[in-house]
Amino acid sequence: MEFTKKVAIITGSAQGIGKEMASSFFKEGAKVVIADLNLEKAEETVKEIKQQGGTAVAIKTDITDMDSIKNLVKETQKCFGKKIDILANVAGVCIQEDIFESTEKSWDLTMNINLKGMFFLSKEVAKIMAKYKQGKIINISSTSGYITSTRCSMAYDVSKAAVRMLTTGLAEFLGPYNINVNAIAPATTKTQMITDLFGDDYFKGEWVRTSYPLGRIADPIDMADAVKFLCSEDAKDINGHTLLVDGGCLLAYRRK
Amino acid sequence: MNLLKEKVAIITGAAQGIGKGIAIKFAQEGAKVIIADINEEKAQITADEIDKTINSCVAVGLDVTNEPAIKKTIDQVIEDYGKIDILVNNAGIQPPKQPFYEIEGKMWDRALEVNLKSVFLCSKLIVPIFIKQGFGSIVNTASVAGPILWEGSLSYIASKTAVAQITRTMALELAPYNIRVNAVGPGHVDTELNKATFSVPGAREAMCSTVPLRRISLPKDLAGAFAFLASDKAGYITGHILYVDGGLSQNK
Repeated sequence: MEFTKKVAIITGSAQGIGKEMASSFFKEGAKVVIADLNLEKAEETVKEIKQQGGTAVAIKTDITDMDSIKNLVKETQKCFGKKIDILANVAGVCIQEDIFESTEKSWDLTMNINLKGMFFLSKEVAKIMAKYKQGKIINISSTSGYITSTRCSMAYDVSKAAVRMLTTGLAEFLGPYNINVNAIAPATTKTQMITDLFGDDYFKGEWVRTSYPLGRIADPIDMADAVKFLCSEDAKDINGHTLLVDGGCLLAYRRK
Repeated sequence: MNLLKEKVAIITGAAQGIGKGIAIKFAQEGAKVIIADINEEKAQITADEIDKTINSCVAVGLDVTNEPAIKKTIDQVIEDYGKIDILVNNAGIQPPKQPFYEIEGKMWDRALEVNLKSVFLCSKLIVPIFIKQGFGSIVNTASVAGPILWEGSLSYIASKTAVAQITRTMALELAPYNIRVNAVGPGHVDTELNKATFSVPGAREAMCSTVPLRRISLPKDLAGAFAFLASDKAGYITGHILYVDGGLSQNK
C-alpha cells in the first residue's frame, strides 16, 4: 500500500472532498487526522473509517486560530508519533454575495480560512517535516482562482488565486528540505457544500456539456485520486505545481 | 501496480531515455506496450528487456514524420491487439545549441517536424480509432521550455511550447468524444543523450542548485506522471500540462 505507516492531516475532512481524501488515504494504509471545525461530523467520519478497518482520529480545529493550529499539530503527534508525512489543506469556505452587498466580515472570514489558516498550518507542519527531511503538502485551489465565476464571491476567487502563489512560494522555500508542495484546482465538485449552495438541479442540463467539455460535473473521488497521485512516489519530482482537475472547463472558458 | 491493466499503449521514441522510462513504468502498471522508435535495433533491445522481465512489449521501427508509416503502424497494432487505449507522443530531438541567427533553415524544419508535426500526425491518425472506440488518452512530452527560457535553443523551445498549446487545443476538440489529451513538462532530466552535459565538472551541482528540490530527475521519476495522466484515475483531467521539474518552473 502506498501510504503504509504514513500520518496524514487533512483539514476540512469531516465531509466533502476532504472526507473523500481521508477515505482514499486510509485505504492505502495511512493514519488519518480528521481536522475539522465540526467535531460531531468529524467523529462520524472517524467512526466510518474505523468500521472499515482504518486508523483515524478527529481533532477539532479552527484554522483561523493560531492556538488551535498548534494544538492540532501537538495532538497529532500525541496520537500517531512525532513524524507527520502528509498535510492536505482542504478546509475552505465560499460565501456568495452580490458585489454591492459584500461585507468586510465575510471577506475576512474567507481569507482567514482559505488563505491565512492554510499558510500558518503549513508553516507549523513544515517545521516537523523539515526535521525528517520529507513531507507532502497539498493545497486546494480552484478554477475560481483562474476565472471569475458568474455567481459572485470575490473573496473566494481571490483567495483561491492566492493559494496558487502560496503553493509555488512554499515549494520554493521548502523544496530544499525535500518537502513537496503542490495544489489541485478543482472545478465545481458534487459535494454537500455545492449541493446546499446551488441545489440538485445544478448538475443537470445542456450547460454542463458546454461548460465542461468532458460532459459531467466532478465527483469528490476525481479530486481524491489526483491528491493521492501527488502524494505518491510517482510524483516525487512534482513541486510547486497546481494540477487542474476541471473536466476541461478552463479550455471551454477560453473558447471564444 | 494495476493502474494501466490490460491497456494497449503506443509510445513513440521509447527505445531510450525518457521514453524508455515510460515504457517500463507502463509495463509495470499492466499495460501492453508498443515501442515505436526510429532506431529499430535499440527499440527491439528495450522491448525484449521489458517483455522478458515485466510485461508484453513489442518494438516497431517508425519515423514519426512519415504519415503512411504511422498509419501502417496503427493499423498493425489494431490488427494485433484489437484496440488502442493510449498514445504517448514522446519522440523528439534536441538540436545542438547555437545562436538562433545561425540556425540553418533545414535544422529548424527538422526540429519542428520531429517535435511538433509528429504529435499532430500521430494524434490525427489515431483519433478516428479513439472516436470509434469511444475512449482514448493521449499524453505528449512537452517541456519546461515555455514557462522558462534559455539561450541557444530557439527551435526546440518553439516546438515544445507549440506542443503545449496544441495539447490544449486538441483536448478541447476531443473532449466530447471522451478522449483526453494532456502533456508532461519535464525539467532537468538525466538521460543517456545528455551524459556529456552532466560530465562537465560542477555542471550537475550548478543545475541542481536552480531546482527547489535540489535534484535532477531520472526517466523513471517522470514516468509516473505519464502513467497517471494516461490512466482512468485522471478521468477528469484534460488539456493540462503537468510539470515534473522539482519546482524549477514555478508553474508559470
